[in-house]
Amino acid sequence: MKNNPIQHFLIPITFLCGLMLLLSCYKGHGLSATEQQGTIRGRITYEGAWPDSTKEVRLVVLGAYPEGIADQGAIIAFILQNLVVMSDSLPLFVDHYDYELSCPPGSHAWLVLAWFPNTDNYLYGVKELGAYYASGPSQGDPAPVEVYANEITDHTDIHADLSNIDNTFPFF
Amino acid sequence: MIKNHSIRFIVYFSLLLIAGISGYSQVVSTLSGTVTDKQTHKPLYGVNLMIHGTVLGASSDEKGAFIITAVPPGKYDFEARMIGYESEIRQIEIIPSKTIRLELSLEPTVLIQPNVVVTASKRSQRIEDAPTTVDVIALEEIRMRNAATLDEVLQNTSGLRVIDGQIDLRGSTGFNWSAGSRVLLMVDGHPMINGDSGGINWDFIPPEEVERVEVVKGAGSALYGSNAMAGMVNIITRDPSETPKSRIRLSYGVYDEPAYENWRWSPNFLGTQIRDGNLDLKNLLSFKAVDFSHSRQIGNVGLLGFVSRRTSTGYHENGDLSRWNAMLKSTIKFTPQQNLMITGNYGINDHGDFLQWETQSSPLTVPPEEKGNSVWYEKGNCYATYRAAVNEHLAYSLKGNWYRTHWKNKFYDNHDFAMTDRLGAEGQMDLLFGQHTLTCGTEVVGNFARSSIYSNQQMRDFALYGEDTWQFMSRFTFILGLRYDYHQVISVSSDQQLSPRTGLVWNPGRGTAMRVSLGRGFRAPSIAEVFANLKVSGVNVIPNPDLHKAERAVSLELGLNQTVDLHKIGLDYLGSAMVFDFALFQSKLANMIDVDYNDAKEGYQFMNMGRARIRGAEMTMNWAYNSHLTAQTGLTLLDPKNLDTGLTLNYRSKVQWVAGMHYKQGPVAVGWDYRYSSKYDEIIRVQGSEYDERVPVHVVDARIILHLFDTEISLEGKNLLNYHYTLRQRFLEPVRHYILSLRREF
Repeated sequence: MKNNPIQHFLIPITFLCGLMLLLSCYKGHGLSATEQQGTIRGRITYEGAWPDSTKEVRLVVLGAYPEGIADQGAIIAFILQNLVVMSDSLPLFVDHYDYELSCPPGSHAWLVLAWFPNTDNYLYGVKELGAYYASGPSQGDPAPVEVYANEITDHTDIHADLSNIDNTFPFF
Repeated sequence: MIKNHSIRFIVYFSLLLIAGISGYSQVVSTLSGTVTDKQTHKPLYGVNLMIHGTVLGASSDEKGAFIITAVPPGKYDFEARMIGYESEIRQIEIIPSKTIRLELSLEPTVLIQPNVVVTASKRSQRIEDAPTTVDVIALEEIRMRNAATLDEVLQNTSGLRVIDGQIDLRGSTGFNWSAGSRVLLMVDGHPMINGDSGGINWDFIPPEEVERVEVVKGAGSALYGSNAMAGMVNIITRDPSETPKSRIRLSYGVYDEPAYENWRWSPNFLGTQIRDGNLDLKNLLSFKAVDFSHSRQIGNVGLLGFVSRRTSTGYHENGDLSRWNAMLKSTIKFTPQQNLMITGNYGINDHGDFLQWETQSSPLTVPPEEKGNSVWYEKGNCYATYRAAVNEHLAYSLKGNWYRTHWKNKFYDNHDFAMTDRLGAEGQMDLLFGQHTLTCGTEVVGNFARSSIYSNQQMRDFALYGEDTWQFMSRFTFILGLRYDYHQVISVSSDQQLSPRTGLVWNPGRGTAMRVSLGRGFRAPSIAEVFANLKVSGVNVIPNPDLHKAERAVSLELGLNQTVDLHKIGLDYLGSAMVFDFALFQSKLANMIDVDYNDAKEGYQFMNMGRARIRGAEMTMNWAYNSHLTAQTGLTLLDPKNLDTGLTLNYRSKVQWVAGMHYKQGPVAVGWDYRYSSKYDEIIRVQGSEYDERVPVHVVDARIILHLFDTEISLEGKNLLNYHYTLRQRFLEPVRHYILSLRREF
């Protein structure tokens, strides 16, 4: 290699340029200072007629799936024990609604749309309108929802059948 | 059945030895000489010298001298190779009963490229003849990085990550809970895999006494059996010095503070004390280490003794460490063709235990009840290798090793213990005939565990292996090998595995090598994976006695290695030389063993999970602008998929990138390293348990080294960006820290 004075500067400049290039990749401090929430996002599609007895509809994320629970009192206890997060009241009397719900990160067993009647003791009249199924509306078992901090879990769509309100049991 | 195999092998082996010894009595000559640096005319130490077409060879001593005796008459190609020098091949003629003397001088090259590796085919071979990707971390790189344990150095190797102390090579392992390594770690060719967990311990392998590390990527079970399913890492320790020599290294490091105020659990971080104007060196979160070694020759016996002491406060709660290590290595040269190496290591440490953080708002502290949890750990090993070249066509080696690990938990809720012995023996033979080199041998291993978490368990392994390397048409190398393994979990189950391998290497011209290899690998479940039954800090691990099946992998690799001499092609302005390596690889796994949560039994369990496929591409480049400035980079792209669920495998990063530069001018050297890995797509899913925040990894290390009067002073900053990340659940990797060290040889 020919030796010229430019090389004396070229080498340290190349070295420093490499280092600067890396430092330009700097993306803050990585992990956040505190636990971060994730987001669940999807579309709720309603089927059937809205009954006048509707008080409100909420999305409920539960850490477990209520298999074999039929007693109304046990259901309320189960919800309270396994509740991860519950949305505010959602818009009523619409065909569909695109929702976003802030949620702690984790693997949550059940994302369910709950309907509450316009009665005095409305908690005891809760009914499931629909839930999140990975393989399409009401196919197989409800799928767990995977939520990661600072990330959006998208396409958690729910098919809500308003005729389920007439079911004897709150969950199907 | 086993007995019959063993007897047949011993008879076959003995016949070959007798045949070799009978051929040894013919009239032979001696080849001797010296090797020097062509520019400085100084003698070169450690040059590999080989007589092509034979198993004869030697290494030059500190005066550059070498001697090879018992060379049969004839014409040979004689080759001298050393890292950092152009290799030289000279045609020689050996005349009966005469001593031939050669004076060789090697031309320095700016690239730190290795020439000879010993791991890929279980014998010395040129790196360009290896059928799979081989990376070599040379002595200069190990010293430059000033590591406390060798895994810190390995993290800057392309496609290799170290997660919780275990090696993840090209996405083979991810996070494996320190059990069941899919990469075989060896020291001087002897396995260093824990007898019970099947995992790796780094802390009693002294980086200061390591000459080089060979990383072989791809299925290696055809020669090495279980654990070598995804590759091998072989740590070659230094040989004792010819003249009395002592080395000392003093290190002192301090931890800077984490970026967030709510994470600063102690007032004794460096940054916190400086900001508060209250620098108190005595109470800083810091670590100190002293390494001392002495090496000398007594007659034909070389001795190397090493002792190390390290203490640390750690950067998190329960981060304290107190450790003693010692090593004694002895080499005995009976004749130039017969030598014995015996090495013993002992390490004892007491360290705090940090299983996982309670909350991300305070990731450097443990739950209050776990404060003070610690583990007492004692490790020892002893291994010996006897090598002999019977004649120019036959060499053999006999190996024996013993590895003990003994630990006791000192937790508030757990006082489990385990003591495990791993005993192994191996006989290997290398036979040259025509253009073929046959490597074959047998190996027996026994694992004996006594523990409160898996009671008394024993595993035994027996293996036979053979691999033929055929060099034809001067440019092609064809490899065909097969290994049979019999694995027995005493009184529970047994298993047999056949691991074939084939490969072809084509050297179309100087500096070019194209390779293809196909092999089958396996890994038998470890004692811990089958029997572990423990509850610690609220985490349940439950045994799985039905875990009988070994996991298996079929691996394919296509690769190209190209050295470009920039002078010769008129691209001087780009520097002196570049070496590129491209590889495309795929590994299909069956019966993959991984951890999953058993909802019914409410605990974590190792189980055969089904099928997986890991495919990807890797590109590495070494560049030398001149003798002052060198750089390396490597990019690995992975597609690790669980074929049964369609999901990405847990704890795998799909993009991994490493880069580094080193600049030396006079007595001053500076350098930096960078490593990146993309955030995990998937981590272990446990319903009801919160997930960590996932972030990619960006880590920059930088250093300045000053050489003054045979003393080296270095200042290094690690994780300079103070980037906070996890590699496994709920454990924050080290915050920014600085290390000042002083190294002297006398």
